[in-house]
Parts: sequence; C-alpha cells; structure tokens
Amino acid sequence: MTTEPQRLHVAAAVHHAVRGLSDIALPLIIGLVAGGRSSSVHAIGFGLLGVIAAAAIGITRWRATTYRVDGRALHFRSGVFSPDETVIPLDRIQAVDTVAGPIQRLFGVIGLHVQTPGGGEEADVTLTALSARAARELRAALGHADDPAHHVPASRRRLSPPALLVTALTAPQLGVLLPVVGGVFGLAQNGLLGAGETEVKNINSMHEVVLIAVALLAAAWVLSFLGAVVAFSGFEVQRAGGRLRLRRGLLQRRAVSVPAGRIDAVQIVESPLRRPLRLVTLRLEITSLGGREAAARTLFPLMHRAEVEPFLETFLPEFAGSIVVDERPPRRARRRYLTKPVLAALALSAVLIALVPAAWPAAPVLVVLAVLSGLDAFAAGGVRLREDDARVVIRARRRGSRVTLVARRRRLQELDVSRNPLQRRAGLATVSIAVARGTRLGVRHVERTLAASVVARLTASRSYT
Amino acid sequence: MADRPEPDGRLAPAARALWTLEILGGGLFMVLIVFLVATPIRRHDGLAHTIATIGPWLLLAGVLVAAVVVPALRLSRWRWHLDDDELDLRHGTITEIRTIVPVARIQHVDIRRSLWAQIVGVAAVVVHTAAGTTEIPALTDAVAADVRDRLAGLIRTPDDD
Repeated sequence: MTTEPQRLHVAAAVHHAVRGLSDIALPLIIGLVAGGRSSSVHAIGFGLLGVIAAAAIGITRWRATTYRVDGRALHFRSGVFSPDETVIPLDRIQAVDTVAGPIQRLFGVIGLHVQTPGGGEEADVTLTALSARAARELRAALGHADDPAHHVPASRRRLSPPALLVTALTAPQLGVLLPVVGGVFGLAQNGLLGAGETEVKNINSMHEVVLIAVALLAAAWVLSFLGAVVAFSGFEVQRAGGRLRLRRGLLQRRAVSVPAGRIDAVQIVESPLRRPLRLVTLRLEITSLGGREAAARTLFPLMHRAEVEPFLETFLPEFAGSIVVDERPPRRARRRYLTKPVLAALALSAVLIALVPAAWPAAPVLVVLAVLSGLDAFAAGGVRLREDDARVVIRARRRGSRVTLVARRRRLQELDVSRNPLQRRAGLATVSIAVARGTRLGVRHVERTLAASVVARLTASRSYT
Repeated sequence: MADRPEPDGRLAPAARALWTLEILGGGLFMVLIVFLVATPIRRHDGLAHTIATIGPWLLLAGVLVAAVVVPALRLSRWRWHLDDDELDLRHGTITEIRTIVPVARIQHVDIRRSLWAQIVGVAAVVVHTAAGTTEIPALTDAVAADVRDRLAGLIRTPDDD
C-alpha cells in the first residue's frame, strides 16, 4: 500500500500552538513582572501578541508535518525551517500506542505513538492528532491493526480512585521529607541567632520554628500528593501475549509497551508510610528499553502485600512463585545489625548535646530509634534460592523501606560477596546482587556457607586448575 | 556444595608502585593544603596551637605509612580470573570483596592508562555493564591487551536471550 503524504488532523495545530504558548508563557510572565510598572493594557497587549504568535507557530508546524506509508516504511516529515524526515521500516515497528491528551480529547481525535526497539524517544514518531478513521487506516497500513485500547487483553488491572487517593497520601518518601524539616530547623536557628537575638529558648520563637516546620512539611506533602495524582491517575497495566502495557497520567496519557522478556527483575517496595497498612509498590527493572525505561519504572503503584503473588502469576508468570525469603541471617548476627545505627545515634547525640545542651532528651530517643531500625533491618534480611527456580529473591531494608527484589538468575549484572575482618572472625558475609541499570540489594551478615552456596548457584560451576 | 575456587590471576607487581604513587600524589597534596591552613592557626594559643603544630606532621606520617603498607596489602589480596562465563575478582584492603560479573552482561571493555600507570608501565582493564563499571587496575600491557581481546571475542557471541 502506498499513500500520498497526508497532514495530521487540524487539532495538531492547536496542540502545537498550546505547547508554543506554554513555552513562551514563563518568559512572558517574568518579563511582565520584572517590568513592574507596565499597565494592564500593556499586559493584555503582550498576551494577545503571544497568543497570535503561538497560533501562527501552530498552524505553520501543522502545515509542515506530513506522513505517508509506502510498502516498506512509515515516512514522517516535520519541522518548519529544517524539515526532518524520519523513516521507520514497517518490520522495525515494535508497537503502536494511542496517546490522548486534553486537546486530543477536546477535538475527539487520537494521537499515535509509533515505537521502535532501542531507538529511544528521539527515534520514535508521535503523530499528535488523527481522526479515528485516519488512525484506523494508518494502523492497518502499518500492520498494527489491533489497537490495544479496543482489543480485550488477556488480563488488565486498573488503579481504582480510592487506591489512587491512598497512593497519593502515602507518596512522600521519608528521605525527602526529613531534610526539609532539618533544613527548616537549621534556617530557623541561623535566622534567630544571626539576628543577634538571645531568646532562642523563648517559647514564642520556638513555636514559630515548629510552625514553619509544620507548614513546610505540609507543603511538601501537598506537592508530592499532587505529583502522585498527576502521575498515577488512571494507571492501568495489561498483559497481552508477551507484552505488558502500562498506561497512566492525568493531563497527558502516557503509554509504554514492555516486552516481558526485557524485564530483568521486579522490585517490591514497602515504604515506611505504606508498610503499616501492608501496602506495597511494584517496580520494574529493565536494562534497556530504548530510552523509555523511566516511563516503565512502575509496574503497579499500590496493592496489598497479599496480592503480590497472584498479581505476578497473572501479569508476569516469568516471576511467579513464592517471594518468602527462607534463608535468613543467623540469630548471632542480630547484634551486628545494631552496631552501626547505635554508634551513629550516639555520635549524633554527642554533637547535638555539644551544640544545644538542653536537647539531651533527644539522645535516648535517638538510641531507641536506632535499635528499632537495626532490629527491623535484621528482620528484613533474607534470600530465597531454589534449585528448580529460575529466580532469586533477596529482601533487605534500604533507606527505611523494606525491599524485595525478585530477579531472573540469568540476568544478574554482578554478584558481590564481602567480608570485613569482624565478619571473617564470625564466619559471616554480606551478599549483594546488581540488576538492570545498577539497582543493588544485599543482605548483610549471612552465614559464610550460605554466601558460598549463593555464589555457587548463581554462577557457572567450574574448577580452576 | 563445594565452594567456588578463588580466582588465581595476580596483578602486575608494578601495581605496588602505582598505588604508592597514587597515595603519595593525593596525600601529599592534602598535606600541603593542611600545612597552609594550619600556619595562621598556629599563631593562636593553647589547644589550637598544639593541634595546628602536630596535626599536619601526623597527617604526613600517616600518608607515608599508608603509601608503604596499603599497596602491599592490596596487591597481596588482589586476584582475578576470566573464563568464558564470568569475570571473577577478589580484592579489598581490609574488607575482602569477591565480585563476579557474568561475561554475557558486559557491554564493552576499555584499557585505561592513567598518568601514574604510564609512569610505572601498567594498564587497567575497565569492564562496563548496564549496572556500572568494574576494573582490573594494574596489568602489564601484554596481559591487559590479551584480556581485552578475549573479552571482545566473548561479548561478540550473541546472547542466548
């Protein structure tokens, strides 16, 4: 089939115009604000000028963009001053996905995202707006007639609105929030001391510090809440044949198609806010997806811990099986998990007391927290490795979260076993693996024999002579 | 289950000289900075004076001792082995680390010669995977070229998945 070069639906002009406008909006606003004295007539004039310029850009870009399919390839031409022609051979097309942003939905048109393996976003072609009929014809011409959106997949799961709400409420990472609070305290103290005030211990100023901290914490929470809502609205995962399709997004619907064979590992993350609710997030570990790895990072934003195994069974049978780690660090390793956090807590307390002697009650609290965190890390550590299982499961605590990594044995990037002098004396070792693009997870203080058998089972067996 | 045998390849003996140079290079620069910073502090009295007087000399002594002891320890521990399936390394000065990189995951290989390495006449083989880099820090030029060529031949073999 050969077609004449065709234009996109005229909604593409609006799409380009709006994008042009949002590109120049910020400089425009800054200009107006910095200008300061300019009257509202000026402001409106500038605004109008901006809109006209954007509309002109939109129309020109729409007129310059064409596509055509000949028997062998999709030819996509775009660009006003330096027209680029992208040619994608039909047999290189990996997937054709539907994209629908607010503008497309307003005009009742759809965008098509033509994906190639390994090409990255740069090499992909996105046809911003096509009428339903043009889209159907193009899909047929590309040999990807089955639109995953209309075609009933083998299995699908959506993030329900209540689950989205919980996802967003529990989105903040402690690692992000704590520095904010610390920063506020630092700032507040500097500000108060710098002003030469001696009443730092004054109740009023302490109240202010706490108020500022609470306000900033709330602001950070709201931001991460909104971020999560925008990112995970309408999250949906489908399994059809050998592919996973992930869609999400509130303003801009994003879709990505992942061949299941490219997935090296699945990470099950229980963040501190979600763990008490027995909720987890599932992440994908992929070495290479042609620059689209970031879009395919989340496999599912939120589910109950008990649902993980059935979910994997349905959507990723490649990783199905028990995720219970049954090889654990021995009891005699428990105190070793306490040493580091307790020493850190003592050092922190010493510094704190040296700076603000009145803060001494913080010391025992810090030490208790350190002990609890150490015990939790000990409880988290474990490995599952079976002769008849193509997976290896490692669980450990990482930055406050309990993380379970389910990896394909044959896809490990690196395996490390380390032993410091104390571990050598106690017959213990630390085992860690790296998968995909550098995600590492290790279990500390396991029996040396377990470490040796992990090495033996995860590597090709051999004898050096 | 039998333990995996330890790797058997050693580094070039010149690795000791390389690390000595590296430690001296970095350490003496730091000592110089500390001396410069300590000079004005020495004009004060009491504890500050004592620390500023003794501190830099202690640091200098530490650097000199490290330049002798650390390379010897490191060299005695370093072992490597490459076969068709894996690159197997054992290294570390105090903590002993065993690193195993499957050859199938290696994306490309570099030979790197830093200024110090050129002076003592050794080369490092740097192996890149999606997850990061791993290196054999000091081999003679001939061995390094051999390792690179063997790896290049192995990673050209198509992956089974």
